[in-house]
Amino acid sequence: MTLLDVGPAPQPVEAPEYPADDRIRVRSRGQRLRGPLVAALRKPGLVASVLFLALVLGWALLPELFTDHDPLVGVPRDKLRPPGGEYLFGTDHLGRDVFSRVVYGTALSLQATAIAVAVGLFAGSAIGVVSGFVGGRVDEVIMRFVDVLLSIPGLLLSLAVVTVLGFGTVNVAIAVGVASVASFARLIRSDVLRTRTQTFVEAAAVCGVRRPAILWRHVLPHSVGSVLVLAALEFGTAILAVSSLSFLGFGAPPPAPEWGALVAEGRNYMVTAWWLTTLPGLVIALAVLSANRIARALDGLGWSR
Amino acid sequence: MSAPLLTLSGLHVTYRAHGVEVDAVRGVDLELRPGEVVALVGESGSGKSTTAQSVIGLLPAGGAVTAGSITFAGRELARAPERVLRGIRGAEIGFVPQDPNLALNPVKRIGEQVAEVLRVHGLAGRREAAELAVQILERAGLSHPRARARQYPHELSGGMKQRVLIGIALACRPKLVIADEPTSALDVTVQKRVLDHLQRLTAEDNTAVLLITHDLAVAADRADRIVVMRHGRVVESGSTAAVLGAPSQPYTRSLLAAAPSLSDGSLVGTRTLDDARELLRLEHIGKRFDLPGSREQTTAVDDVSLTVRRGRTYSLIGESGSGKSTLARIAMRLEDPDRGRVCFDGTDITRLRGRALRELRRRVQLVYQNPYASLDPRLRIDEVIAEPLRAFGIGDKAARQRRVAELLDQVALPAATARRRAAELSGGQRQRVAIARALALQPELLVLDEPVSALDVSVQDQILRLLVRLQQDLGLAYLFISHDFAVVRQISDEIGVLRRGRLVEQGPTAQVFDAPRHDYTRELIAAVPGRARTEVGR
Repeated sequence: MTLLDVGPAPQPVEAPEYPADDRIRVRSRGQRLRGPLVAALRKPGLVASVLFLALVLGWALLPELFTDHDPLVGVPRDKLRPPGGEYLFGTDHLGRDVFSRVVYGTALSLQATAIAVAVGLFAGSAIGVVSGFVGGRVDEVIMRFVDVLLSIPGLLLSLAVVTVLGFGTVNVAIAVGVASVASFARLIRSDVLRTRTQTFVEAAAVCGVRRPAILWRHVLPHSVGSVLVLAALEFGTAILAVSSLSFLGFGAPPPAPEWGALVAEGRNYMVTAWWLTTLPGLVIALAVLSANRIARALDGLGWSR
Repeated sequence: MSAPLLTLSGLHVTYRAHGVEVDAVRGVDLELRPGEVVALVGESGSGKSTTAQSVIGLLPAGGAVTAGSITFAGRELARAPERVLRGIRGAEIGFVPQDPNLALNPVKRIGEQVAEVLRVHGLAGRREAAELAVQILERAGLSHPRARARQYPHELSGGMKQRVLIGIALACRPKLVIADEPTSALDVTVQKRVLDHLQRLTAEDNTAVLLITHDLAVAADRADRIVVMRHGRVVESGSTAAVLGAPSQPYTRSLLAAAPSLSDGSLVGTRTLDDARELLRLEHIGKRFDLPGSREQTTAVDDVSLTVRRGRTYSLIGESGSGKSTLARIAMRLEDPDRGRVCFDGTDITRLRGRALRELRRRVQLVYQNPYASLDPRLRIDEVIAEPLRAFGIGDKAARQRRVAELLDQVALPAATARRRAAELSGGQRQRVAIARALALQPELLVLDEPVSALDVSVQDQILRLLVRLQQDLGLAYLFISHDFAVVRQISDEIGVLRRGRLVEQGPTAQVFDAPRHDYTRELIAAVPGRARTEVGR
């Protein structure tokens, strides 16, 4: 008899018949959907955050829809105009529209942010998963290395990395991502350690499932929740870090617009033309706040579980 | 007849969460007179704990009394303000919670926790309360009460902690004590001592007791009246003798039939052991564990030898900490023994590693105690059951699906179960799935680690019958781990009694039961609840 032969089919055990438990009422789909929607409307901060990030995403994807002015070529006659009807955020010393520079700069800044978060998420998770799943001496060594990384201030580490890699948006992004690898690794390691000791993981091993398959099918799906929330939180931090580095001049070379670089360009006119630094800075601040607010809401929804 | 102390009439309790409403209790009527012991019996989810919690106004979040009334000593409690309830809780109604390991504050000394009840109800000042606390602990049956009062909860055993909680519940000499499954987290011998003590103390003070339990045998031993609940309604109530002797409802009858007791016959009959070849042999197994935070070691298993035969059931019985689970894990090769040999089908598997160990998994499978933990909640049931087949690359997808359907049929689950997830199934259904997964590779030996102790009695009975039927159909050998003598008696051919890692007695089932040679075996058998019921039933 091979393993897949049909064995003798026994008679099913007759379950005693009593009235079933009918105490549970599930509200209809409409009623259920209404709950979260109403709850969301009660949090205006969250709604505003979602709308603002949607707008910023729009800027990044289709900047020409949001502004008629050229971000690179200015009108010298209109230089250093204060914010008004024609120029929403005013103009700079070359007569370029600051608003359209912010809008066109979004793509580069967001791209750098996304790369930074992805580097942190994937590299950090890979290191943390290996550390937690293999355990023992490997874990010891990796975690001491992570300790060292954690002891260096993030921006300083990014500066060091970008100095080695050279200038450019992608290099800035990688530098920012490397700085967050350690915290991702630490977080997912603790989740993997917790999941690894669950009974169903051991049950899989008893069934003869190989270790890589156990990791992929059983441990990972139960461990990624909190790093995903951390990734969402990291978005805000990464926007700030990328902007900081581009403010220091490590980002895209001029005249390409980038959020941090815009703030830097306005430094010399701080007293006479406040809008050059303030308005791009405000956009950065709002983007960071919105990202953090949304990350908090995701955490509250139970993503980390 | 005296006036009732506690009256519930038409009590309705509803839980609300995430768009789902559950009417946990639907119209319960209950009366309790002073000094009376009433047992509220039902399976998990029957609403018995919810009923008890609503009396003291401590329903979990989302729960609310929606209709009906709760009258205690002439006062209405269902809609009483929190301030009034606080004055009654502890002082007039004592509460003994289910799990003593969770119910005490781990960072406060025992004495302070007992004294706290007296102080918050203004019955004693600080110094006086400390003195009274020692007396209460002594009355609760703790040895060295003065020393115990200065200890922290982690320094006490489970049974001692439950005594402390009983002491706290009775500290203010309440008129009513609600005991919510007071002993289900304890070993049988401890359970008996704790219940004896509770009974004596409440009898002295003429305290009424509302005893919540899923165990009919416990109810039979302790209660004057029994109230059977199901799906939030009272199915049957009456004096203990009437309910157990002549149950009028089919549900009560089925509960009674399902409850294992020592008077029940064996499900497997007497099978000869001589013609069955040996399959698993443990020889002089020893295992020690390091104690966390100290250099000492504890002995988990000490020089145990036993033999499991093909097509037969060997049961290991013992209390928690006796080393029975460690022994099962050594037999499964999930744990390495320090000394001794594990032989399977004539070959030494003690040091098997890697590929050879994985091949062994085809022939030996394990069913865990807790079906809520042993199934991956993210996988569908067909994926769970097919997992061992996938792991060994047996059959293609369609063949595996056919095998899953066949296995579901073998464990008497509907075919549609395959598309569901573990969270949608009840405990009994989950345990059937776990058994189906264990059978997928057609093993020769199943190690069953307390496979029914997390289940309700009626479900427990169904699973035991299923195991017996599968053994007959497939010729499986079982190594069955349990703490429950009544269960073991029903399905075993041989029994080994473990105590502190040593096998104090082993032999054929009938011999161990009818002529136990070791005092500890006798003590275990005597502690099994349900003696009263056996007598009533006759």
